[in-house]
Amino acid sequence: MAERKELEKKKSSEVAASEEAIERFIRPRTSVYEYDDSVKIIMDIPGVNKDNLDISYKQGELMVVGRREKWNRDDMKPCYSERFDGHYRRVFSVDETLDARKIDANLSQGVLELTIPKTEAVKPRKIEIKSG
Amino acid sequence: MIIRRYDPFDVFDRMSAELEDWFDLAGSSATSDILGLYEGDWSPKLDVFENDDAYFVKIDIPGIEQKDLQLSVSNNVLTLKGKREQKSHEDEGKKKGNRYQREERFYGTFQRTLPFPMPVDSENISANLKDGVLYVTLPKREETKPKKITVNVK
Repeated sequence: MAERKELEKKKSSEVAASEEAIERFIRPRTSVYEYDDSVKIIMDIPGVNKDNLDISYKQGELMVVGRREKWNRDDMKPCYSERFDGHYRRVFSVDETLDARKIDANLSQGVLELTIPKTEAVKPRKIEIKSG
Repeated sequence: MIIRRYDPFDVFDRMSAELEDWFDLAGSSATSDILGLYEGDWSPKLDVFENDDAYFVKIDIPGIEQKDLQLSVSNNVLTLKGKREQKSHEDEGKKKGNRYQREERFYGTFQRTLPFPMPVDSENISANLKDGVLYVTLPKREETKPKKITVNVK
């Protein structure tokens, strides 16, 4: 689809330079759905609560950063590990067809739902035909 | 037509993401069937820690309600069963044809079994679900805890 909305992951170079050197990030698993009037982004970020979640929008880039608190105490030693122990980060580029200033965010049970409304100009409109 | 900044290193990012997905797949279907360790549509990831007194298991199960979880211990093996429902609005998006753009998250049933090398006290296991992570504490049985023996030298 040529008109596909560009919501692809994109790395912000300034973030990469400043933060990545000290912190390790993973890309959370994400689903993106498109509706007539909005776009919904759903991310799995287990272990992140409201206080450790940072959603920001700047110059067409929507960035979600979620930090996980360390759970294990010093006396616990790891014996088996599958999980990547880092923080979550994902950057989306949001074009002008979406109204990034009206993003609605909802976090529940480690699942973040972002709803971004489309701008009026691109919403489907029914045109009334006048006869006479 | 949207003009996007060209990032020459983007290809590496995509490559590492692809590889990451490969490893995820390896854990969820192909190898798991051979090992018979877990069954289901997907497999949540877990970490195990231990100290002298207990084992600590941390399992990532985002979006799962307590009612959809089943945790049991028998013969020193911890079994976690559960189900992640696809929410109605997500289905809705799919029904409308090509309306979803990306689907990386898993849905459906899962099962993980985890054997412990040392006997655990199955009466005193505690589990706590918080922010999509399940924390399980399994105390070790008294007799398996390390004991300090003093040796008297004459």
